[in-house]
Amino acid sequence: MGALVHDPNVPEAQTVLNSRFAPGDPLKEMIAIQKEFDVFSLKHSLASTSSLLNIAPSQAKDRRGWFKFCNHLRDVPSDTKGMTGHDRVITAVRDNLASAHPLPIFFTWHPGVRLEVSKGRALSFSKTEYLIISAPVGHAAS
Amino acid sequence: MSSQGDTARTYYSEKLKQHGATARGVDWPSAASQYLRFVQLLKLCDFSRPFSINDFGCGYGALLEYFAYRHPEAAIRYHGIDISPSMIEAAELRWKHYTPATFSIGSQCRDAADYSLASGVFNIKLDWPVEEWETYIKSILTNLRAKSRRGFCVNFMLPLEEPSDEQSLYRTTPDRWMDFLKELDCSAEQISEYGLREFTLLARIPSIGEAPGS
Repeated sequence: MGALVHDPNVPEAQTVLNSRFAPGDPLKEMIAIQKEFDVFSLKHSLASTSSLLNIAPSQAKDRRGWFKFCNHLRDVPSDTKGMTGHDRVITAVRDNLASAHPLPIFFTWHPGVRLEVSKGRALSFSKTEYLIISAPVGHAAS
Repeated sequence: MSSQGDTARTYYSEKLKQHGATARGVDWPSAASQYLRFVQLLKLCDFSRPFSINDFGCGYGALLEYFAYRHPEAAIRYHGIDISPSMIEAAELRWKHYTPATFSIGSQCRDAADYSLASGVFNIKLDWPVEEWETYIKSILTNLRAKSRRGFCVNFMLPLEEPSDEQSLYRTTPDRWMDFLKELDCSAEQISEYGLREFTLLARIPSIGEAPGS
């Protein structure tokens, strides 16, 4: 990740991402957008969906890096056999937003080689359960 | 002395300069949220027959993008109005090859159309006192009424659940403006709960001889 988005700007990128899927109004908006436009779909790339939703760093160079990172996830394995990290993100978000009780989503990173999706308390000080999507940054930077 | 129009002109011209002809350039968080608003507003329009529309506060003409995406077969004559000359310049550049679209600089709709639409134009009041801002809103709604043959549509932001010290945004409740639309002899419909903290008002203008709301 640091190779694609300038290190000091990575926290901002993560905040932008997580604020758009946060509990309350942001999650309601995302559910409505998904229901109306089916933006998280295997018909669309994560980069194009990210652009449409304006989920990307504000600096132009970092935005390009971010979209490159989204595309890079096509080459990253996931915790679902035979599914790339790219497709795993899309299907996890899509299925969550369409579910009867959608969870807020928390995006994070971990050193490793495969993208992982889980459910849990993303914020140790909060009882709110999140869908947690964690990207393997070690793989991206190598 | 500056007016509400001057405030809007300066504010949006600066946004365009910062972000270009994009959703962020007209101060929307994303193209998708902008489209979600258009879905609600355009519930007013009958797409089964040709129509003309005034897009008041048109920005760079994002509504035309939405028409191309959602209603590519519809026969629509479009006129965009914006108070910011740089916005109109950006819109004319972007849509120069699209002949059913025209643009003009202005603080009100000049010509009548079947429908008029104003999305997000009442939200940023900056330092204007609420009372003066509401007088401005009334003048715009009255103009939209006068320049629409079938109806017009607008949206407003709803109050936050928690008290906030934000001063620059105008938030209101539907009743405040439903009543005013009735004063304008319109049949008013409210749409809310569509994923955004706001509501949309559809104002239908009765045909001659038809009572409002019938």
